[in-house]
Amino acid sequence: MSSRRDFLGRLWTWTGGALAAASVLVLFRALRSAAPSVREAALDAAAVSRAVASGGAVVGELFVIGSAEAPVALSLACTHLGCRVAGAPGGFACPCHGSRFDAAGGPVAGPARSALARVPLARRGDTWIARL
Amino acid sequence: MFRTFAFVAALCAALLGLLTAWSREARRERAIGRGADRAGGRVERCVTCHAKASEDPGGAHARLALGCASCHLGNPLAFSKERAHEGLEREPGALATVRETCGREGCHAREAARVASSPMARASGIVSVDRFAFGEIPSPDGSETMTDVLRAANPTAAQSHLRRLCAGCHLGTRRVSRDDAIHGNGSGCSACHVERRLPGAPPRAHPPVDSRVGDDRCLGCHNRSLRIALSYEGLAEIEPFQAKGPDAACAAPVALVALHDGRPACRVSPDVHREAGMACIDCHLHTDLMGDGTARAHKEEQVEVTCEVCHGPARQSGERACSSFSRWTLVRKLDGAVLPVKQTPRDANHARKGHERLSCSSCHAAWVPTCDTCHTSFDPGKRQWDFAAGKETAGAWVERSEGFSWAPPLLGVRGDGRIVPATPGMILDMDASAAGGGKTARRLLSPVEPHTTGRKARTCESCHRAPPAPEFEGGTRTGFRGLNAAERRRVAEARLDRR
Amino acid sequence: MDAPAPGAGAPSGGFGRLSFGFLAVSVLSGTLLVPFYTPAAAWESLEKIQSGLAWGFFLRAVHAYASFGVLVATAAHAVQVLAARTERQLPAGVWWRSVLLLPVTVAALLGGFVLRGDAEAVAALAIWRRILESLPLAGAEIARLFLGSVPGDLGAVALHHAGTLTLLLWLFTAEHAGRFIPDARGAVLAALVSLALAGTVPLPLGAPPAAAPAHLLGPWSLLGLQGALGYLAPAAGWLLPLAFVLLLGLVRHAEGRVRRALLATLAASCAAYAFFTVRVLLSSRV
Repeated sequence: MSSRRDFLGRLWTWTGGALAAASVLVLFRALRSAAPSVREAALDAAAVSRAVASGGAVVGELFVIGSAEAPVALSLACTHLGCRVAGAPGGFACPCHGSRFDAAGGPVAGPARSALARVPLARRGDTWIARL
Repeated sequence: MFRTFAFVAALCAALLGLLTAWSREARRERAIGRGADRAGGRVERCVTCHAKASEDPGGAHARLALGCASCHLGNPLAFSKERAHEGLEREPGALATVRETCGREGCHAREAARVASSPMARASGIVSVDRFAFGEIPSPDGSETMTDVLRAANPTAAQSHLRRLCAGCHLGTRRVSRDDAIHGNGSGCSACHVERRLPGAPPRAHPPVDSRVGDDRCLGCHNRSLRIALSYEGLAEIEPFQAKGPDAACAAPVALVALHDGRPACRVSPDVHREAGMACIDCHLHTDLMGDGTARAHKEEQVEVTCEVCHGPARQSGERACSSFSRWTLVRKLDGAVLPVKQTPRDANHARKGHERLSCSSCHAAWVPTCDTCHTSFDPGKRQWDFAAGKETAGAWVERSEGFSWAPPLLGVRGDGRIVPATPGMILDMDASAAGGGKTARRLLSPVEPHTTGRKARTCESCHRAPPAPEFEGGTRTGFRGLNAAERRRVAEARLDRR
Repeated sequence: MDAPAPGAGAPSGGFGRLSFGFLAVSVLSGTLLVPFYTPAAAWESLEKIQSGLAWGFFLRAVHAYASFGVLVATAAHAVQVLAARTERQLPAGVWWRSVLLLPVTVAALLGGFVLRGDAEAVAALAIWRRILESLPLAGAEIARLFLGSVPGDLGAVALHHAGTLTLLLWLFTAEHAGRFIPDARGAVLAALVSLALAGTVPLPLGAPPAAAPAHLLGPWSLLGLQGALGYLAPAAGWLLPLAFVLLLGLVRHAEGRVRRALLATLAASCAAYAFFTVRVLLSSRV
């Protein structure tokens, strides 16, 4: 016959397990909700015009190319594992694992498989707003 | 046995380590700066060492406001000299790093972007006229810049000539790459906005960085080529052989002077604006000098100021050096003095029939420097400074003239029909055969704004009854020419009516 | 402690005692660095420790070399144990927790590298985050759990480095050794070696975080993985270490041909790791 001791023992075990599972769930939900929210970065329009006039330059944390009316912002995070790419002749090069990108951000060599992310820019007064 | 040995060895190694660390700590203690470490609201360890009053540029760029790293880069958080000076820019304003120094966002980004389009940075006029004179390009109005010349992989004869004799006066050439005539000038922004420091001069305090640019900096580069800064001062350069002997062009001590690099010059007459105490920057405002975003082929296309802007009668729109309230005045930039500006009189002299196309300086310029035949050749045996390499290299361009002089300016006709002063500045005999080129002989007329405005205008006879001017094959601008035969005849036959 | 630990005179215990000694030195020196380090101003803290603090550079070097010593001594101890075939002296649970000491040590070293705040550290953190995010099901959440959810803040990395990982290392080591603190000889020897290295081999700082050098090198113990990641998918960043740990753990449960095959695979992976390490070092000199 299953004694009360056995029953209580199993109750402890099951309660412990349930508490652990609940903690994991709560932790998981908390971590999920801690995802970084969308951030807006403001780029000065004059700086953007100067950047596109010189053929592309870093403005803040983005690389701006294109035209003064329709600038395009490239993220400088390598699409392989996220290192910051640096300018190189003909485009960009990643100092971590040797990925190379062309001037428009397309992958040319190395382990990166996709192009540098394009960040949408929206005009607001005399600034361009980048949604990151 | 082994354990004992290992223990003893480890003990000795540890003692050695401690001793080495002790000496390193003593060195570190001696080497770091003391004192406040904040400037401009940020941590700036530069000021813990560089705390002397003589290391503060003062004014708008004071150390307390900007610190050091905003201009000189480096590592402002480091304690040790080696780490702090990594990535240091000893010449802030140099065009290679200007976007991180003077031209960083929040400081002078607009001006730095404009300078890239200015004639002083591009020097495309110098490059094109030189290559045109060598016969390498068909017209003197190209857009090749001095940077292109310095970077050319296989330089042509003219590019080699430019790299050795001309590229020193290009805004991108750093201070360490200078020749005797332009020693001491910084590069980029500091070429104008920081005082010159001649080599051999005693160590000086950190120079101020300001917008009141004295003429000494303009003289640093504009004492060559058309020598307009020398002319403005009333100095005409001569060759050393002309300073000696019974046929000397002028005599010491009054008339003959030595320029800052030893070249002899004669005192002629300075420009009246110079006599009135005006500096170059009183007329040449910032779009003239720093560009306006549009790249132009020649310097006269960039200059906005004209005599009429201050003296009238026909004033253009755009920037004005002078202002009017009840009368026209000019405020001198360097010392704030107020000068009255004489207005062009409405008299017969300024309304003569036939003079409609003349520029003001056609009559009012007293003299221009002239140069009698320049023999240019390349000597592979000699050594010469190469501005592209930043050091002396084998091969030298040698220029020898048959003497400099000065004379009332010739007149030439621009492509738009306006008649402007000119100088026979490109009578050349060039032998580039040792540098991959050919032999050429040129007779070109060069438009010039003489900067020698005299108290009195030139006499009517000095143009109308002058001996015939030499013939030229063309000008150093597309469409620029001397007077043609019909125009010469009209000038020679004009009645000199003094009403 | 009910686990019979290898005796004091056991032939395969030498490096193990040294490893515990190095751990003690590392924890002590790390504690002494705590007052001078701020995760929110990591690089500035490092510049101050390196050049602005009396004996700061020495303290930092002692901490770093003692930590490297933990890894080297643990690895040497593992080789010693496998060669002497004494792994079965430990109960299975203790054995597996002891095997985990290797990845936990590497994680602690990587955390220490990231906490420097220089250009290499910033890149290493980005790569670490991407590798963790490639874990199935809850990758992003696991990355946030260990690396923090506040962009640009090293607080979580610092707390796990000094707290969670240090605690795990000490607990597992103590359980394995059968004692709470290292024995005197191991501790003294570890201290002497750390002092010797810290004084004679200067430990430099990396490039400023805003610098963009042509090549960035990760921590020396992970250069092999850096080289491999140039050719493999990001998931290899956790799959390869996991596979290595599993193979090592399984050696205890295998014998004969299977044991030899496992050992051969482990040796081959170490050789490949060494090859990629050398490759990365050579290519960074270009």
